Amino acid sequence: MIDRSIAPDIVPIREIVLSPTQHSKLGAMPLFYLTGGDQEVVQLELIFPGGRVHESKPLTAQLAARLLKEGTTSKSAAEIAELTDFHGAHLQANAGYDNATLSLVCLKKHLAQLLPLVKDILNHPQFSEQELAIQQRRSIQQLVVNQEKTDYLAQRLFHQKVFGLNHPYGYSSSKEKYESITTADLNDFYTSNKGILYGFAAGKIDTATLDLLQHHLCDIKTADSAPQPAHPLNTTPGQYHQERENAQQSSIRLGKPMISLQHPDYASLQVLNVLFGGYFGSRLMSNIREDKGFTYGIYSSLGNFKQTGYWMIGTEVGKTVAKDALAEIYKEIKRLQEEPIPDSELELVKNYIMGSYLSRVDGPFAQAKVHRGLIEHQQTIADFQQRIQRVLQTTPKRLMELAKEHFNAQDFVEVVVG
Amino acid sequence: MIRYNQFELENGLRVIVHEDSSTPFVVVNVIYDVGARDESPERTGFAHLFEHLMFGGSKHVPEFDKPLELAGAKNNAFTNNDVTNYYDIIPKENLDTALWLESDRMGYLNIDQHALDVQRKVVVEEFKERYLTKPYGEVWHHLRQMAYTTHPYQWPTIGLTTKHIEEAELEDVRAFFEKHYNPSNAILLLAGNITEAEARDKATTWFGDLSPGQKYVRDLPQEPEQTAARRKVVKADVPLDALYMAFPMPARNEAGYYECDLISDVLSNGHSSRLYRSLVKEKQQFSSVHAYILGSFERGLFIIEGKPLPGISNEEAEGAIWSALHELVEQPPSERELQKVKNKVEANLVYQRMQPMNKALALAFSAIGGDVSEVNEEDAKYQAITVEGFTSVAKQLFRKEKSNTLWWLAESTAK
Repeated sequence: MIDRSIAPDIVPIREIVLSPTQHSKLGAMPLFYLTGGDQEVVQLELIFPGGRVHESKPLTAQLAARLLKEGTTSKSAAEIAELTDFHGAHLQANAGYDNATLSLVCLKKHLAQLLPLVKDILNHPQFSEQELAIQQRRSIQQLVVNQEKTDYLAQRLFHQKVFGLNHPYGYSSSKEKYESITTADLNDFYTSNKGILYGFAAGKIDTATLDLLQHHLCDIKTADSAPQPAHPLNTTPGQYHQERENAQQSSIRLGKPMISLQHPDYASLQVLNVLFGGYFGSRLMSNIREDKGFTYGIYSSLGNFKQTGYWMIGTEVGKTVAKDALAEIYKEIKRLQEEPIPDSELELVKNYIMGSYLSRVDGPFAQAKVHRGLIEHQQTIADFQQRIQRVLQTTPKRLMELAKEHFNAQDFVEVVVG
Repeated sequence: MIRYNQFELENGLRVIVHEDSSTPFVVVNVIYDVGARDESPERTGFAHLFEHLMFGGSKHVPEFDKPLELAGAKNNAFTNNDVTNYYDIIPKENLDTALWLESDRMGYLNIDQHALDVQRKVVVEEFKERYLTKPYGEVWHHLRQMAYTTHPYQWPTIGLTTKHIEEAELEDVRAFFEKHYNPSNAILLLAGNITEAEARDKATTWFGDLSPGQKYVRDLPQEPEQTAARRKVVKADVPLDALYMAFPMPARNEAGYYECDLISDVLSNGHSSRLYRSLVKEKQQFSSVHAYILGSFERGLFIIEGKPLPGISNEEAEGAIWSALHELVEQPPSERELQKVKNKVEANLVYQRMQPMNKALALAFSAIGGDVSEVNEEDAKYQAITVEGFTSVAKQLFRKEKSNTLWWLAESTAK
């Protein structure tokens, strides 16, 4: 019989294999692709400069993306929806802060029926008054509900203070902003930002698939990969507390702008963040959930936009213990700055991060996501591998230095709503 | 098609293996045949609280999560009204670590008062975060209580009140573990980079010596047939009125279940669906409207929910829904409309089953529901549905006397 009191040996993951993408061109548009998977599925993503940083008026990016599927010069919204649904496809347009993406996921056998629709949507969109009115009403209704949630309110206040009230990463949606958008705004926005930067295909990508893509998408308009319009940050550190009388919980958001992916210290900072609040066994979770029972969950995370990174701690805690929870968060930060991290804890965190990297390269769709991130930040597989090596080389001493350099309370935006 | 092999250990533990050598991971999934429906009415929310306690370490394991993190694995669990499910996604080199932990907590749970105290608080915070502080968060408490007068589906997994969780005692924990957590009431799934031979070997090594325990025989009070319409109005601090309707529907293994699922797709899956097209886009009476089934093992609920736009009276909104439901019978779906929802089912089954985790879950649910081979018969069952079958189920389903209608009214507009 096995001796259960002896833990099985653990083999640490030290090697992460990210397959290189293949390249092609559809007309003038660069196409990256990754082949693999045992299911007959194709995923196609077309990336265009349609995010918030390209707006001249707030919320145009979001509404333009929402309306993209709601009509072309030759097809109604109903026809587009029927064609997509009939072929069991997911067709979505999403505007992010930097770029926007039109994505199609379908069974390979339906690709030929769906690509003409993709082309039509991109080349001949029609932003109608009626569809705009419907989307505005829906968005406003959704906003009204969200504004009752402390987590939503805390999140938007945090963004305002970290990036700036008028910054594309920082501004908040409002009824007035939604209502002020006209179809002319959408046409202007789409015309000036029309054109695909690049495409990414993953799944069953064989010669027949590539031929189909070539055939249908070779005359899609492409965009120049000109640098984004720059928007200077307007960070206002400080404490922002909003009392909500009927709330049972308080939403806490704490953080600041941060170095991003390209910075040589990023990998070690990632180690520091995971250790602090990036996994279930983190310092924050062990203390504030598992020891004190103040919350269902507390996490910290690093975010990467094109023009800046940021760092944020987020949690919903019982209203009566919000002060105590904040004090514990600051106490844990201080510990990072003053006490070297024990080797065993650091080893565990490194192993955990390596496991996460391993799942990020598990299968063509996961790998496509990694490559998309690399392309967005002008990075290569070598940069990716270097980051992994830096994770493994991180020392307790370096982590203490980073905590002192980057986790200073006077730089923080501290938001409590509830 | 998900290929699998299955075998049983001497202590009665069923093991199902799915081989997929394209992933560097193995999913270790343990499903227990116990959910919120098996709780006592005075201790609702207990199955879920217990799930939290399963992470507190067991007799030979001081801490559950740490070894998994050290092994580069991810793990979690969920509880619903029917089952409790635990999973670890672990690099194949470290499979033994997950099997060590899962077998130890199946055989030798070790909960102390401090762990119980903390997890009671954590779950109460979860209750607040997900149900009490969210607008419309308590809808399921009301809807279930209205639609089920007798069956324990009448409470949601989180429990009826935070009081039930706060009152849970260590003795309850021990009794629950004794009754439900053993090889006789669990199924182990191993999916990913593993062969059947390895699975046999490792499952026997780690789980073979656990004592079988008693098979739990479920004997729940059955819900009587609903014979009269039920209504409830709740006034709450929410910004918009919301309408919820629940209709009793067949269990997973009963005739009509798959028809109900396709009916919900015709009504509300995708932007070409009937409710979205007619009520959101054409008549513009709702800002959102959805229809779906709960997918429970026993007799379940078909749900319709929507938020009417300002200026639309509640009578008008409710009438619009009923008209759409009657139209399913008066204007049955065309061959193309029916084919559309079948195509969606086909594609979605393929999309969902690309990940070993999802394949393990699909196998686990079919197996614990009674028949693992069901997992590969689902698509054919959907494809076989005819327009006649569809309309006859719709006719039975949407009847006034079988309706449960809940209005969640914004206090400012409450009439």
